Amino acid sequence: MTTFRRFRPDDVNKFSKCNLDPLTETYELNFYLQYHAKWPSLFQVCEDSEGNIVGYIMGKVESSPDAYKFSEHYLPWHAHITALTVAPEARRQGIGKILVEQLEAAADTHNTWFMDLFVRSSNAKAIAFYKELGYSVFRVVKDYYGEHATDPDKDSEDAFDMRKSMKRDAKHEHVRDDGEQHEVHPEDVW
Amino acid sequence: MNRQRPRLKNGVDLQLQSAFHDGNWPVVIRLAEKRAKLSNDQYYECLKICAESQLDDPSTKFAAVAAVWKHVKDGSTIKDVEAIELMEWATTNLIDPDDFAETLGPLRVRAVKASPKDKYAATRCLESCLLHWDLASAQQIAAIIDRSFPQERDWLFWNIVITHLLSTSPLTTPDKRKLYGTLAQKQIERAAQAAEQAQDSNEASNKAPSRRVKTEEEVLLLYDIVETHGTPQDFRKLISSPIFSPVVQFRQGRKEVVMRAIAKLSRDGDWPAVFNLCNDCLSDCDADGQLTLLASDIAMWRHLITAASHVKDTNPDSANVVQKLLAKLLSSSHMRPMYRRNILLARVLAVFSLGPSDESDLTDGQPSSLRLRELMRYIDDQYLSPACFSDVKTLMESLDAAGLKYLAFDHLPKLAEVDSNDFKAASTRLLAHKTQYLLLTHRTTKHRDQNQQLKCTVCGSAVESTLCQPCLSQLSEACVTFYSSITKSEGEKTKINAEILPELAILVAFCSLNLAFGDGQAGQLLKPQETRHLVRALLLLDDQLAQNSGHSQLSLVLTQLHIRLGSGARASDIWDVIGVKRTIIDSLGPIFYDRLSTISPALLSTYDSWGSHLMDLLQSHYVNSLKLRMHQRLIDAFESGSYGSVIGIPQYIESLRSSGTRAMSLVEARRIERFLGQPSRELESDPRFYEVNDDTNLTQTVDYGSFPSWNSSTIQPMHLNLRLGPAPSNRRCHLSMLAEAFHELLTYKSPASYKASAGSSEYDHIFITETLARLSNSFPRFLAGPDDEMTQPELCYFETISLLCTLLSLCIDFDRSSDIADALHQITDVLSLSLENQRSQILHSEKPSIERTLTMLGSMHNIAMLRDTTAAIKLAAQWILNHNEKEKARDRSGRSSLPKELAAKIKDLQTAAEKSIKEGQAWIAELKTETMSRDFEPQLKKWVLEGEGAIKSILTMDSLPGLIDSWQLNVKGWLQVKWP
Repeated sequence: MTTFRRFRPDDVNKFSKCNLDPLTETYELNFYLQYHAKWPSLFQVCEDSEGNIVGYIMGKVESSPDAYKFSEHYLPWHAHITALTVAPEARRQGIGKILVEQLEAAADTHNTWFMDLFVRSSNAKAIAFYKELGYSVFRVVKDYYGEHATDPDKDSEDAFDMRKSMKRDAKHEHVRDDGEQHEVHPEDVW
Repeated sequence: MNRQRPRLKNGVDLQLQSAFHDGNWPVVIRLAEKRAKLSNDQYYECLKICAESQLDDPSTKFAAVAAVWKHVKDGSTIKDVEAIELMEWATTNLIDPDDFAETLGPLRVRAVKASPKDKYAATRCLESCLLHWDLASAQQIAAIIDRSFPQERDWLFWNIVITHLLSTSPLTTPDKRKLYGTLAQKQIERAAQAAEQAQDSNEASNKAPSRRVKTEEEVLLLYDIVETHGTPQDFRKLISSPIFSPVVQFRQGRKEVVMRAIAKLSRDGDWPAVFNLCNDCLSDCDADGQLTLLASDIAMWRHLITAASHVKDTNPDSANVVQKLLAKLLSSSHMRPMYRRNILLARVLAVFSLGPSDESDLTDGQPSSLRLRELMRYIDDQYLSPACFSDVKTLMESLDAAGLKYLAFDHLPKLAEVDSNDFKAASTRLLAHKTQYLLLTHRTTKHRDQNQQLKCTVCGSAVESTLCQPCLSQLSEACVTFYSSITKSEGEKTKINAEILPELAILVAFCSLNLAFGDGQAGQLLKPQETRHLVRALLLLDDQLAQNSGHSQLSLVLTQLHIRLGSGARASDIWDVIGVKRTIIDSLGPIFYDRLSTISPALLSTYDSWGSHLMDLLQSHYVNSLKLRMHQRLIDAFESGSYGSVIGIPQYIESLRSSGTRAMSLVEARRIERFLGQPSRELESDPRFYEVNDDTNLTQTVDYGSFPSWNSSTIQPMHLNLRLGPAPSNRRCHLSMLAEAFHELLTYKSPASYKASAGSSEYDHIFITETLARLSNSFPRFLAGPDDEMTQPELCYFETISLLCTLLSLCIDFDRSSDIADALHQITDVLSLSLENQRSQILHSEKPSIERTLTMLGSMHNIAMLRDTTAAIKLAAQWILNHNEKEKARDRSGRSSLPKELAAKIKDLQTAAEKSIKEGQAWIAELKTETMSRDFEPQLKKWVLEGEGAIKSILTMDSLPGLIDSWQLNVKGWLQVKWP
């Protein structure tokens, strides 16, 4: 029993079902308000019939600073998924997919070229989830995360920068099939 | 406010820049004065004043403040915005933030008026006014900018939204609110009209006027303003607009507008309009003729069904329309499981709301009503969903007792038998047990027979309360058997361990807890046999948490249980693992912190790293989020044209500022400091205190959403039973802060370095008299109200302090010629009774036993309240007696000193308080002896396992040592408490 709608600031008072899950990080208020203030249509929540938030997605639209315009790593106008979470009890219902699709619709409204996101290379579930939605690895950011999620002997982990073309990129010029062969360093990511 | 030193404006020479940067104020003063004379530039004059304000000399410290006030009174203008910014910086913390609207705000407005075309200066001034929440000045500036740059459409909407904010601000007078409301509405309606005219004349978008409503945010603002300030006709006109009607907006993917319109129409009771609007949106198709499903939220379906139930008399076809729509959507080819679930559930809701309501759910032992059959259809489809129980809980509760019993004891167990897969069978059986639990906690399952004897419909036995103990014991037994069997089974062990066992353990624990609580006695002291049920539940859940570390439901219930039983240390370990911090502390903090200082004061001592860590988690959110009067992100919202956020952020920030959790964080911190003798800064200098006055409504926002909500809604939820007492209410928060102010007043000691001047004692006297008068006025205001907003010991404590304030006030200005002596005698009598009453809240028997120890461990809140009550009485009595001695010495006539018998009575009160203190200290000493004794663990183990209870068979007792350690730590902590 769910309803999808935009985030409102007092939703943070109903975040417990999502944010008490160990895999979901709780940020300072400033962080949530930043997304709410700048990109309100890209911060969507899913609430249950009691008003508890059982899922939310935070996204933004941006491009790399103009100073990097001629760099090979320059990112044109695009949307980015910053956070996606679904409460444990609400999983396997397609809530995550609906939230991503809604963000994609908003990204098209903003006339972006593509949507991207970062995911740990060890997070097979998330990678499979995004691949099913049409995302593919665009590049591998070496040692992007400071610690490894599954291997305590390693002190870093790679990130997959995954992408999906939005309507504007009709020719799919901003995605590639062999992204896992393209490695970059964290300093190449802005 | 932000004290970061500003940068000097361009053109200031390097010598002055570097002196300013280095904070070399004498040089800055000298150079600025010189430049001011040479250039006649007002900026340098301001710079000189601001530099003077940085000197330690008290005579110059307020130079900038004085200059600001002078400009305001003279009506003169500081034209240079950078000079105003210097002034703002130099007066930070010296001008009351509330005075901004009378000082720097108007100066900012004057500066913008002086240079209306200076966009940079105007936006800087606007930003400052917004962050200081000076809406009156902000509105004037926004209007000037809008007039100066009519071609820039953003300024138009900034002007409109600020005018709208001003019209809804409680700081604006009612007549001005109306004026600004009308202004905002006229402006935005003009912009809306421009959009409609452009469409009518088919103007190409590049030729359409820029000052028109265009974006989704602007449309939302239009709705907000018309809804707030417009007439019903204005709103009707809006929703019929060819551009702005909700359906047209929805077809552009703008769902928020529809939700806004539905909410307003529902409030107005315009059900035909709600029905049509929901129907239009739910049946909306895309260009390919496919249903969009964008509106297929449960909220939208609920609105449609509610509206249909209202219009069915005038529109008999409405129920058919709903049914047809449901069937149409269910046949949609690209259905997500979530939407399918919503639609299936909407079908059940429709039958419950629109179908026949007078049918019996069961006839001859078989489902007969349409609603039960439809509900079973939904369950048969969705029973494997983890959310199935919560989806249908309310609907199940609407069934009659026979229907619900059939579901719980016939239908669902049969479903469980069908599944061959271990996990599926286990989850269905768990669903059956949860439904049985719902049935047993439902009031309709109890009825009175011919002899007026209350009987249980389920088992037929006579019962004494809403809860049937034999049924609960039987359910507990069934769950324990189930628990034992699945822990032994090998199939899908990981999934069963992760998803079934925690909930099953909670269910067994809940049966045990219900045996303890009966009809619900939140916060009351438990009898030994009731405590035993709590300890058993705690041990089972702690065992389970060892298998499912960080499980949120287990952790939250356990946190409450440990606190309720006086085991704060273990509660803090569990709390720390689930990581409640930052933004969610406001809504979840009270679950752990509220009254924790009365249970485990040493646990939160900021003198050790663990306590400091815990207190920092609680307090830092408010420090970080409320640094400025208004949050910086408001400016982002303006710059992004997010007008919904422009309206939403201030509302949230205001509610956070008046949050009950924020007030609670102060009260908990202050009580710990008093208990442990660790004084910190003055109460008056804490924003959590000085930003609150008697008119502030301190709001309660506790998020219980993650607690298992399995009790029937006809009885109290379990999390309320487990609390020490009611959540932080407006009244309790105010009373607690007033009580802290009382303690600070009577315990205040001047710093050793402070030398009192001859007249200072007179000022002290005035300060004390005025503070007591204020407290005496405030206490009765918050004491009046229902008793269920605080525990009995808290109420007794607050009443005692209120009386003490009156007693002190009367004794300070005592005059024998007046007839207040009788009143004073009466007050002291009542105070003695209050003290006795507070003592009686603690159940203590003389004979040592394991029951006595556990009762005492569960009575720490009451002991803490006794400690505070006695402290307040003793401090007040001492103060009065000292004051009396001084008066006797000062006024030899004896007219202003207390009569002997009254002084003796106050002395008696002091003695009684001291006796009570000794008694309290003795209890703690006894607790230490008993909990540290070698026999404690074996005795406790034996006691826990005594008597009946299926739960015993699955208790490993592995968690017992942890519980004992936690109790011992708590008692050791109490040994650090200072008894005055």
